[in-house]
Amino acid sequence: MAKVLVVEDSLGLQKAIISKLTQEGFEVIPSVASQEAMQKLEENPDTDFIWLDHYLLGEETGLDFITHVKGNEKFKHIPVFLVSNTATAEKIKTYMHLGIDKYYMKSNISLKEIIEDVKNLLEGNPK
Amino acid sequence: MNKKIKIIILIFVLVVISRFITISIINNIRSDISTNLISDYQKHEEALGEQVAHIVEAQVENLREKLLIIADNDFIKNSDPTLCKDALQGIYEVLDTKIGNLGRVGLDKKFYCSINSALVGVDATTLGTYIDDIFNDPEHKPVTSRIISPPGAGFAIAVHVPVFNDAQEFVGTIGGAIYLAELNETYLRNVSIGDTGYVILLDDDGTLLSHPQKELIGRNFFNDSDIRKTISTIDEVTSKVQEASDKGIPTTLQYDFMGSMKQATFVPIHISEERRWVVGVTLSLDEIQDDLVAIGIEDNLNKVTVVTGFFAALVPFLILIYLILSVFNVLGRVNRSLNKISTGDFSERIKLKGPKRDELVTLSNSFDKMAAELQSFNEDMQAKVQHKTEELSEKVAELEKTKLATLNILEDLEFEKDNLKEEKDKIDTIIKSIGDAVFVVDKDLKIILYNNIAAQLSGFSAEEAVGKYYKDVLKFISEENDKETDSFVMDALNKGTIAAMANHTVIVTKKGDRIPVSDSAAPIKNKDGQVIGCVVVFRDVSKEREVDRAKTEFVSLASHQLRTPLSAISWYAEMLMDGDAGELNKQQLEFLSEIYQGNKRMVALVNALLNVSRIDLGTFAVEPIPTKIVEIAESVIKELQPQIETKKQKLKTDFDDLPEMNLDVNLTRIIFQNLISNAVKYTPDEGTVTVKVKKKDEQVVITVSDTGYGIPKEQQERIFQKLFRADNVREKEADGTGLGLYIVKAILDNSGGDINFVSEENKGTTFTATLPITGMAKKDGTKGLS
Repeated sequence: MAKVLVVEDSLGLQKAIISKLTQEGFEVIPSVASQEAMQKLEENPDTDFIWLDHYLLGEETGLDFITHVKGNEKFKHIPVFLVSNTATAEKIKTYMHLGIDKYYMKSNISLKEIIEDVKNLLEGNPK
Repeated sequence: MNKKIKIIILIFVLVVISRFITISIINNIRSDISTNLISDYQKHEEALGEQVAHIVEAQVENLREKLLIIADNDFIKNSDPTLCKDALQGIYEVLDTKIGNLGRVGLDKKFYCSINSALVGVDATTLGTYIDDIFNDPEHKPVTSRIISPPGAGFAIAVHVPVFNDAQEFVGTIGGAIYLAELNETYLRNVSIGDTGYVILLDDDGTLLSHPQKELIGRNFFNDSDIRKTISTIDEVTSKVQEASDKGIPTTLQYDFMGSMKQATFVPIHISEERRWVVGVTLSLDEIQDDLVAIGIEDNLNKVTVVTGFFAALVPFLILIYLILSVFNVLGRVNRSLNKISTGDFSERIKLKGPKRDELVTLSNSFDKMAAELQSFNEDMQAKVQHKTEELSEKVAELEKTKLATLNILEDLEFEKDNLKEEKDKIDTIIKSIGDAVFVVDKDLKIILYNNIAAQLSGFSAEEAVGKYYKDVLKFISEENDKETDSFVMDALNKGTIAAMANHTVIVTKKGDRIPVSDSAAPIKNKDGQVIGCVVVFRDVSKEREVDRAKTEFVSLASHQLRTPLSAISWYAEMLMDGDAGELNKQQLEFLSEIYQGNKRMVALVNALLNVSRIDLGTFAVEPIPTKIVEIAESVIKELQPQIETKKQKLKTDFDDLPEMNLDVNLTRIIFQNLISNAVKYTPDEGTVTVKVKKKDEQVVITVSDTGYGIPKEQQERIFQKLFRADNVREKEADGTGLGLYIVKAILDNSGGDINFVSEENKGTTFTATLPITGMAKKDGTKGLS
């Protein structure tokens, strides 16, 4: 069972994501802030995938979190999807530079589509 | 004593006495004639002298008047040497009679412009004291110089008049010269009086301004050693000259010039209130004597003397008495005639009749001959005087004409100048009133105009800026990398088109502060279309940049905040429809589907609004990368396939096999997405939508046509307006933002493309968008469109 870390500060959305992922057979570790997510990652070094939002609770954003992850030898191999409504071209570019695998704008995409892509990626069959 | 002897003695005594009387009378007559003749010559010398004086006075006066007119010219008052030079040259060229060495002296007493380039920069006081005189005089009255020798010209007399500016402050002088050589040649040298007469001209301290011997011009008549050698009574002569000059009346004297007697008449010339020059008219006395001999008067008078003696010895007393009475009678007539002649009646004749041998008749005839000679001499003199007077009148008339012509030209100049001034005032006022900083550079990039706002903004005053290379004063750099960003000035100058400042330009002030600025440079062209400079306008955009940032932040935040609940609705509806919360009946599914679709439209609207705000802010970027345009078209069509199928429409495509071109993928997608989805949306079921991408010349042409509702003719011109939707489709399709075509047009306008359309209601519409074959032009910006 694949383990997914969901870093999303909006509890309403987080609930939907967790619900859908669980239904699709994933084990979900929820988190709302960058530091908390790092901590959960340390507790779950076997995490297979990270679902990340840009704006998070607390001072740090998704950019800080991805910097921590990609700067850490233990976690830098874990694939990351950015699922956010903060769609400025500049930020997306920065995320791409930092090593995320895909970017989705929440309002333009269905959960089903994202999860299809996650499955494909984890099965070594990215779209 | 013998009575006879007594009578003889008596007769002898009477004869002797009568002879003495006769001789005395004849001498008297000779003296009278001579005196009258000399005084006659003197009168003519005086008349001639006065005419010469008039000519010279008129010359000086005319020069002074012309100068006074020129001094009132605004360009002459103006202290700009270039304008002054052009104005002088212009005036000079229209003068009938040229003014020599026409030049303007500034307050530093130096010539700063002149038609004689050798004069420019010359300290005028080195030419004579007259400049100091006019400067020191509290009223700055016009001055006439003594003889001067300006550089690049011969001896001359200069006249300077004051120049006052508009505030009636004395700002220097303008002057011109009369060349003595010219005066000499034209007016004085050729004046002839008899065979030996000539004219000289002296200034008030005795310097010779004109003399038939040219080498004497410029020497001092009073103390030049060469002149003193030739005139033994020079002191007497100079005192007469000074008397004429000091008292302002004509004087005459006779003097010995190298052994020959001369008669000279000195006539004053009024050059100014204080100064008088003198014209001298000189004639040799020998010539006057020769005239007497020439007309035979001397010879005949001598004969009279001899004849009377001879008769006295022979003729009886009565004859003697008769003779004496006759002689008296004739001499009386001669004397009366002489008196008449001396009063100017040259037509007087004695006309004594009798045998030719009668000596008195001979005397009378000789007298008549002399009178006739005198009359013809007088007439000749009068003719000469008249000729000179006519010449003078012509001169005066010519001077008048010149003056008029000058006045006309000056009037024209004045009119032009008024126009220019008005234009200049207008421009000055406009530039001053402009709330933006403005400066103008010439083609050498030197600042020639600089307004107050530019001074306030940059911290450099106009004095510090004008005349400088603009980069030494105004530093425009990019706030991002500190590199110079002033290529817009060079662009305006080199390309001759308006060039905008790059984004994020800041100006470095005198204090070193950085102020964000924005605006443009525009070329200034002359009437031949050549770029002669450029005007740069810029303004402080600190506040705008702040507001801009705040707006962008707000829009970004607002869109984020809107998108989050929309995402929640979308995802939960999706899960419900997927049956994640249990099976739904058909009606529940239908209602949920409506919520889901409505939400999707809401998302599209938020996206469109965000794009519009970025377009309006000018912050959207165009970032082209090599892309195949047809692939984007196909991908959009694939996305829209469900709608096309739902409406059972026929879709036709015609794509050329085009190579990769530089396209911003997002923007190109937006273009196709809007055009094709509009065609599908506004075409009824079973209609046809055709999409073509073809190469034509140097362009790629995207054509999207449909067989749909069309756009009503009266609303066609508003179709690209923001939030506009045509009436016919608003009734049929509630769905639609009125933003799609506005965004498409903005994208094409900002990337080097274009769009237009043809449409007929209920028949269909064809949109034709074009892009350069090379692709989209890059545009810097902070945000892309989504």
